Amino acid sequence: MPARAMYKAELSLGDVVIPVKLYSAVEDRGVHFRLLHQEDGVPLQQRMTDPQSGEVVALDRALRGYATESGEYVVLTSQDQERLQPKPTRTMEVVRIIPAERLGHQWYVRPYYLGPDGNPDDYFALVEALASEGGNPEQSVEAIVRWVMRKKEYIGALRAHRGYLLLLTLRHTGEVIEAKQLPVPEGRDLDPKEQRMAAQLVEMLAGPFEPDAFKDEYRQRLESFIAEKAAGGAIDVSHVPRREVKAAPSLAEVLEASVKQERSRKVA
Amino acid sequence: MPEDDDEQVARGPRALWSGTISFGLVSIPVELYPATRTERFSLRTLSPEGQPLRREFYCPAHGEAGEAVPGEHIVRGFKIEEGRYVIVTDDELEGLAPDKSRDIDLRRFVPRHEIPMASFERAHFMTPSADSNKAYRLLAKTLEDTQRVGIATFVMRGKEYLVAIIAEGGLLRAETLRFMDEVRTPRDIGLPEPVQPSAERVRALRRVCQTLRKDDIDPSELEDAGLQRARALVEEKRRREEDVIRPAAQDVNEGEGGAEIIDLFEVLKRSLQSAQDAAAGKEQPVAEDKPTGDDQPRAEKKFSAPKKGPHKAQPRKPSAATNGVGASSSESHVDDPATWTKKALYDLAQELNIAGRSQMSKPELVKAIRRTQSRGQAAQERKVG
Repeated sequence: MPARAMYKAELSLGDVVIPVKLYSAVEDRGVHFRLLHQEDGVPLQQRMTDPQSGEVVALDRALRGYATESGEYVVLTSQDQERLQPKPTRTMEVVRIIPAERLGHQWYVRPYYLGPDGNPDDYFALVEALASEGGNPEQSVEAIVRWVMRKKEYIGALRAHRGYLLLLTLRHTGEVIEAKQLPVPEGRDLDPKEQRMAAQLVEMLAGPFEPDAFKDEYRQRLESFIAEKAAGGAIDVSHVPRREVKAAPSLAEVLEASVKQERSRKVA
Repeated sequence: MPEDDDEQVARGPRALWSGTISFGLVSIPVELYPATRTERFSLRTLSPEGQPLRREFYCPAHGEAGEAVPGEHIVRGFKIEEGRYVIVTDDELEGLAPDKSRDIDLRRFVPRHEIPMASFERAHFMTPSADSNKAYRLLAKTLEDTQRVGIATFVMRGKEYLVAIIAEGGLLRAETLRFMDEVRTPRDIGLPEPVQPSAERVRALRRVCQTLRKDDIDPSELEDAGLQRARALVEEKRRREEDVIRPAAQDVNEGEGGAEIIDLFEVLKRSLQSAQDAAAGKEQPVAEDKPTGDDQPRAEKKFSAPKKGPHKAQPRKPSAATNGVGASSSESHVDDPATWTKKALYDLAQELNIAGRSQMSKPELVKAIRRTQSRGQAAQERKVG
């Protein structure tokens, strides 16, 4: 079933404008619950009350306040809150082009796809331009873009992915801790023999990425449990046994045993 | 834009998980910390008099002014059709949850670039314990040299995750991945078949890209403009003393004020540093620590640590915490946590895995530590093997 576009934007790159549609690249598979009243099964609602007086305060009478460190609140009026909202615009502006691997994974929040809205020529020309800078397929770049969607400002990284534009929303400065800010664990030089064995072990366990091989088993159990319970069937909640972790004498010995084990596994 | 802060969720840096990476027969005890933190501009909902309000649940069947429904009368329902729910209890959820496991078993190493960007969900840093320093460095170096990442599933907070173990700059990162059925492909979405763009158009777009091209990005270009506008407005109103109110009674959730929130970055730095300090000078290649009598001297060292200030021996040791409870009664100089510094208390609270510690004041920390120690079950969870 084709997905519905969440948003339409005008991607602007210098003086080029490319109309695009934005789609979520994530499918929500979560199992969501409602909170119910135990005695009558009615879905509960929320309200705000004054903990001192117990009085219920209607939201149109309530204030919104920013708590300061000195225990006061700075109230933001509805005009204030409106003023803080970004101006609505359809423009998704490319502010910078950088090498594709420049930002660490910590920066990325959520993936979206952009699709062409109308004439696809410019869209696919941009895919190609981002995929290979100056025609060199080794050098892909990504475009840092800013846009406003649903009254919120976003910053994202746009890159070519399998022939289409993949847009990853970004965190802001201050939200990300980068590896280079942290001390690197140090110690005596690693033993070359151990390094060789470790590399050998990695090679023995090397293979392609097969995401199909992994399923969210908890979610599947939960879904079938709910289905069974809904049908009034018997419910079996079974456990997976815990794995034992063995102690071992020295890193070199353990590596050697691991390599041997993998080798015999391969032969068998 | 401004977010809700009415739910007082305990936030703050703490190890999200501690356990072991298994790599062949090698076990590497590690702790997992988030690699990101949220900077929010959050607002509380106040009464017209400026009193912070509390969120509560009510049953619309009993009218809008009906009694609040307390937690013990709330059940969880999955909607199967309008007005029909399947109730799922806490016990049932717990029974379905994957067994607690303290293991990330690396059984597959894949080329780094084979994992699609859309799969990455959340990044975490892994820090070694003193005993695992060497094995940790060896795994990090090997992954960097081979340009591969380890793939495994593991259980954290009652949920199963698919995870990629990535090495960069000598550090290991654990990045949770979305499961395959959570990621849409262009085909799933129904994007049109690619057309071959004219070479001239591609050249033109490359030229425009060149004009915006830089090798790096300045952090100022990634700043949160909305957050800064909001903060500036609050500051301005404060200066003008406009719409500033002081509630008559303090909210119970608000704490005693001045509760120090220790930054994630500091916690990570400390955690990495302490593993290093403890590893320095001793070669400790044992892959897995066993709670044996040998741990006793180290447990003592750890418990005298608060007196020594920031040079703590090392912040985790499955057996140390249990031994420590016993040790604290035999070591008179450290038996009273109330005499400790706040930082020492925080470190111990972290070790004892006390939830919400980053939001606790000093007396609250002391209370929570005493409670946990008297239960003597702090280490139960962390035991491996």
